Amino acid sequence: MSLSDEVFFVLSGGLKLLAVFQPANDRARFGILMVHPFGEEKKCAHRAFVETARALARHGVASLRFDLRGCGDSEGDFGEATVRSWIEDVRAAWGVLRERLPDAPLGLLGLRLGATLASRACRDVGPVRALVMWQPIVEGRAEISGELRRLLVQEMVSRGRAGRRRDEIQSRLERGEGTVALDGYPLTPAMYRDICAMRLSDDVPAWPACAGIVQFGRSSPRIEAFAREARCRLGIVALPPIWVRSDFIPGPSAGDLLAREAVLPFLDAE
Amino acid sequence: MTGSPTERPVSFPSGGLLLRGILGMPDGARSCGRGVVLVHGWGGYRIGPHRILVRTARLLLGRGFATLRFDLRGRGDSEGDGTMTDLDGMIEDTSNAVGFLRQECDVGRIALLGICSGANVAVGVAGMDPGVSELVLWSVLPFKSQRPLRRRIARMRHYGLVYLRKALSAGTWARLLRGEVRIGGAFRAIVGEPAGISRGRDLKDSRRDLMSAFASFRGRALFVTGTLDPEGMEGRRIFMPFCRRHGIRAEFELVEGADHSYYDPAHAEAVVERTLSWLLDESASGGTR
Repeated sequence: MSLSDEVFFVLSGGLKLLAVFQPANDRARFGILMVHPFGEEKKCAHRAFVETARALARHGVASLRFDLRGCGDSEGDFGEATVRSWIEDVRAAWGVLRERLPDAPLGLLGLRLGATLASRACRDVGPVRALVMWQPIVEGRAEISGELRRLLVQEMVSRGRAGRRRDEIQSRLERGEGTVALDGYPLTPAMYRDICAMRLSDDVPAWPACAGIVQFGRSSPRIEAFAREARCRLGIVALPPIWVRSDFIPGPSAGDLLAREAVLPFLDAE
Repeated sequence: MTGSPTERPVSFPSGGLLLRGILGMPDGARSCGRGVVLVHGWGGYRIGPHRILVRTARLLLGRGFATLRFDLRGRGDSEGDGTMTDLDGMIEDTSNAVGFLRQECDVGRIALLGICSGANVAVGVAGMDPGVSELVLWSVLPFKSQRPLRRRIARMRHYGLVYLRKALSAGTWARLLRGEVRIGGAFRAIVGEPAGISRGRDLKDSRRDLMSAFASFRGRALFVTGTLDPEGMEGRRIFMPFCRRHGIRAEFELVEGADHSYYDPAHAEAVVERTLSWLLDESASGGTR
């Protein structure tokens, strides 16, 4: 029995955020801060993050994974979080990783909204030597619109009808009224506005030279077009969408695949 | 700060593996009186769907309960190969979690609170650990051996009709052409989630007769089910007469309009509040209702 990682709390904005530092098996040649996705996607993707961190350790890469405020085991109310406060959390976690690895180059790895947050954080932390974005959200507004459509489909499946329309929900949120539950997580008007305003292209000037996007299973034309325009590397990994498939339980082989094909090539490009 | 300052990360052994969890101790006291071990579902980890287990654990902590939410083997931050985790291993882990909470907090009475497959795990532990005096079972499922074919057909018919209606909509076809429709998701909804199979064995099945063992449970139990949860309702249809037949003190609560994971905040609130009041009701005499 052995767990080589270390669990502790990181302080950010007066809140305790749960964090897990995974040291490299040997001397760390790189350090990675892992940023999780939004809402229920985090629950689905958690084990994939853990397996990836453990596989990366075998390749000499240390990592820090942590829960943003209001998420996972961290303190805070999800309904009070904003993109700005989450960036503050990323900054705090980055500081801890830097303390742990004073000499190693550091990078950011994120999934879905976590990838977009990592991209945004390139303006706030530094120096970032690598940015790895797993299936990032390219346009926040389109993403939220898709999420609301999924919500209404779910309602239709379970109740036989959707009792409201997407454009009505969006209008209300834009007017600052009401909160919508996305898989049980409150999407407040403030968070709705924050996410709608997120555009990955805005961050490109702050990206490190070593930036890459990884897609899961199949290629999305939207992401492909974006990667071409941003001139960043594009990879694809033969795994199902780990952020929605709660029936897919990633084992060590999935972690190894993710480390080898969805992280290391983007670090070693240096 | 929100949350309790007495929550701390812990690890404990089970089946040759180390499991991770968060231990909550009221006021940091060593002796806590009552404790609750929270058990997540098959594909989740210690926080549960939409963090409902975090929220519940913190509320319980605020009411003086010691709490332990933990990751089963191969899940969350625990050790183990998740593709090999089976129901019996989960039961062993939960039994060890109960032992760990007893050792850490010197609790007198222990309740198990499980959601989805975690509720089935709790039933499995209660059948073999006489020290477990209370069970809170959210969305408990029928065990594999109890699922009649006609129910599976009824479920497929229900979701098949829903998707047929969608297939007749022009919008669905437009989204299909744009590559925005997940056909695999629709397929899984109709036929149900695939069972975890490893080396020809269904991982969600037990080698033991868990229901026979549960018949001897002499504590009390609260079953909570959403009316829009077809599998949970099937579990209720099986457990309700079973508890009556075997004299198990059980209450069966329905949450109108709720799905399997209580995604609607009002439903989640109802489940958590009912659970708290039930656990706090010291005078509960039970009786199958």
